[in-house]
Amino acid sequence: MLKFIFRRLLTLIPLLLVVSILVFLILRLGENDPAMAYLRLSQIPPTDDALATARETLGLNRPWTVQYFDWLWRTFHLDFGNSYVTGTPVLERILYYLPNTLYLAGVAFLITIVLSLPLGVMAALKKDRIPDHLTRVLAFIGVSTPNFWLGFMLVFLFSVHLGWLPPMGKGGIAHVIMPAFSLALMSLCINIRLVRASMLEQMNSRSVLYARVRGIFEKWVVGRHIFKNSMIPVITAIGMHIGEMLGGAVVVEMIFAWPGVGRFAVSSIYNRDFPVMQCFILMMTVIFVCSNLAVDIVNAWIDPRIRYEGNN
Amino acid sequence: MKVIKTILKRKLNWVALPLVVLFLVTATFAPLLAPTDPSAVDLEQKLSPPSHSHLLGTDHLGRDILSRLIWGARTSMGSVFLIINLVMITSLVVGSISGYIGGKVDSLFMRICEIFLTFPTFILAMFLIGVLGTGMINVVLAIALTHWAWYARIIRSLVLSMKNREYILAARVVGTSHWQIFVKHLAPPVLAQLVILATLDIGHMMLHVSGLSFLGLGVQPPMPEWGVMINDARQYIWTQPELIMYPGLMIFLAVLAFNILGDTFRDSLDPDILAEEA
Amino acid sequence: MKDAHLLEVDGLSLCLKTGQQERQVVDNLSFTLQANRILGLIGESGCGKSLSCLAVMRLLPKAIRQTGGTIQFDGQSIDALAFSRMRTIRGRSLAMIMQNPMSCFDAVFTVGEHFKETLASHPDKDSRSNEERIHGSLHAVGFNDPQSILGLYPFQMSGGMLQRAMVALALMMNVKLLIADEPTTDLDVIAQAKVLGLLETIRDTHGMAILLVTHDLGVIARLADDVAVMQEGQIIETGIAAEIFETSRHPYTRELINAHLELYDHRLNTIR
Repeated sequence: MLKFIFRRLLTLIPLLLVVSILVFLILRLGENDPAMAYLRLSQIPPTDDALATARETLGLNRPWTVQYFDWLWRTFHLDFGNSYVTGTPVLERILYYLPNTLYLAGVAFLITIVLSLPLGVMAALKKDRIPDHLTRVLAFIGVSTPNFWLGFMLVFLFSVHLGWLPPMGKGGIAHVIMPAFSLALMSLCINIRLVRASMLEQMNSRSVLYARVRGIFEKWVVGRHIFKNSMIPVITAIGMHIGEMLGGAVVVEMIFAWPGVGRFAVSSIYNRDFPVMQCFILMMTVIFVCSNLAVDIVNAWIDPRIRYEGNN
Repeated sequence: MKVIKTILKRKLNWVALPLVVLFLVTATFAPLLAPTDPSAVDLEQKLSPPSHSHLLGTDHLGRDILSRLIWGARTSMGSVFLIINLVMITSLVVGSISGYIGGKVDSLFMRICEIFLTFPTFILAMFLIGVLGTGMINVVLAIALTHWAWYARIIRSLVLSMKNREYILAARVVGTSHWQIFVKHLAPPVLAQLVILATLDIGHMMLHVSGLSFLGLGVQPPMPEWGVMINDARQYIWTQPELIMYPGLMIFLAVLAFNILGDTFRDSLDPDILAEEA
Repeated sequence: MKDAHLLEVDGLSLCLKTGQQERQVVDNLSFTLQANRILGLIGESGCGKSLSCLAVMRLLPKAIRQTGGTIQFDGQSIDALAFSRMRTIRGRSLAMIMQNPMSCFDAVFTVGEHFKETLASHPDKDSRSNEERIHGSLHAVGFNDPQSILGLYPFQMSGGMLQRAMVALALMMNVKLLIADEPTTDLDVIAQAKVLGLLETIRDTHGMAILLVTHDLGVIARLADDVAVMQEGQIIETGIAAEIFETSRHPYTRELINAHLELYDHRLNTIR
């Protein structure tokens, strides 16, 4: 098991390195002149002299490779430079907002898992009966609903009309429930359908037949053989959900004025605050990559075929 | 064709298919169908309720909502259409070459795909917009760039699995050229699979386009787009929530209709489900 | 003295329902099985042999219904038995080994865990410990180092080994009747010989009754005491093996035998 983790970590490093190169290059290749943006945001008139000075200060005159390694070096030391807008260190500001986003995404993730597993299992066990049809229809509708529209509909219903829940801001359950649900809905519905399909496939498998042939207790047939195997594709899909939620969080934060890193990133894009944009995408990618790794590890723990893949 | 029969057999499609056709027709003939110019600002008429001249009322700049919805269909359908074409072409080329030729080329292409897939899609799209700038073309490019790799990998494994089938080997023995083999034997099933995947994904892409536009990172005003309309209407949620309701409903219905259709496409090629319904 | 029938299938009829259509897949099937004997059920692929086995186990797929006939096992009528009661019989008195054993074992559990859960599902008063029973049965099927097998996952073993493990599961529970559904298909020649030899041994030493279902005439010729020939859902001939092979007049049976003889150079080894 440890060998597996080690091997996966090893492939991660070159990947992240290439990712960082890509981020760096894309930014430089864009038609934007960081010096211009810097001057504009610092509200210094962009005379030729000012531009030249800015270029010097920002180190833009050096060859790209030098710039890249300098940037990489500083990144390792967690120095992402200063925001063009505020002049304060970027990392500080992002880390200020990040926990809020993680909180929101975490609750959404919880909602997804806690609701999708029982609903999906139930739909599979009661296939083609009323609970199944109902669940499938609702799941289908949910998958087609845009999360930003849903957010507003929820706000309209529960804040404007009923006055039960606060429409914006961060806080306890009352504050987080609507944004988290908006964020979770798509993944929740996809997961319900996946759990159901996975269970159904398992229920018809030969190993389940053989378990029954051996006279295994039915509760073990369902709980051990059917359920455990059907979780494998579901766990794989979780990685995808996390990616969608990281993206969706940006939109949901805008709707509910949730003080998260997504909202911050959007304003930095408006402002062309490149250091912030860079740090944002790197951080989100690292989080995404790490959660995918965690998912792979869990999968390997459950499914021995994955662990032994490299060995045999 | 068998596919059309399968589609019509599902009662749900009797609602979905007309909806899809309606959206496509609206998108194509928007200039003819819209009652007024969607960008016509008329501040005196702002936020007015439904009336004879404005069937659904006006927005905060006095523009006719109905016209904006109709033109919005054109923007959404148009951009998604462009995205799908770009994605299908790139993934077809990359995936087929990768799967068919194999070796170092395959490794290289798959590495590239892997890199693109390392980023969370929406965030990468945001970043690309941040670099390239806003506007519909950039949105199309950004979303295409974030989606192609997933398709390419699927095409590749499909080609890979078919490459070594007996009938392909037989064709090679007889002397058929690689290109002929590809066009006659490999392309049809690969294209079929692509079409299924794309149809299933239309809804997803539409959500990304309108999502980016909602954030102000996509289509720019005055171009009408459903996501932008929702953003414009945010502040009026307390007084005129229908301004948010209408464009959102459009997105929802379009995505729903395409999802239903896409689901049928996929099931129509799944032999188990076909047998069940026989 | 006539041995009591351990298994008595009388007039079994099975029906397949697809959509609106119904098709008879097994029609008025009757055969019996006694302890200490191997009944070979032979027929082409698709004639309904495997479905008949599943019917005896009461594990028919949802699309298949039993429309007639009775099944008696060990003096008890089982075709209408409640699921929970049937479960106690399955694996305990009545066992089955199946084709393609790799797909039958659950890849996420070790072989040992399969044995343990089978024992745990059928608690009984056996003086030996679980470990002894498991090791003993694995030893009896030819594994010299049972302990090493138990820790393996199914994909780490060969088809032949897994097939023998399936037999071990039946031996461990001391079942009375073993159904062997195409046990040698997919196996290489050496593994086939091992499995067949094993079946012979357990018939002789353990007195098990075996229902051997196959399309391979050679296997039947070698092992079966009694033979039932099946064609398109019906049993067209039954009898003692030697008599069937030598004196059968039924056109289908002769067709099968002749085809086999041509394939194997006119030799049909009935010598045991």
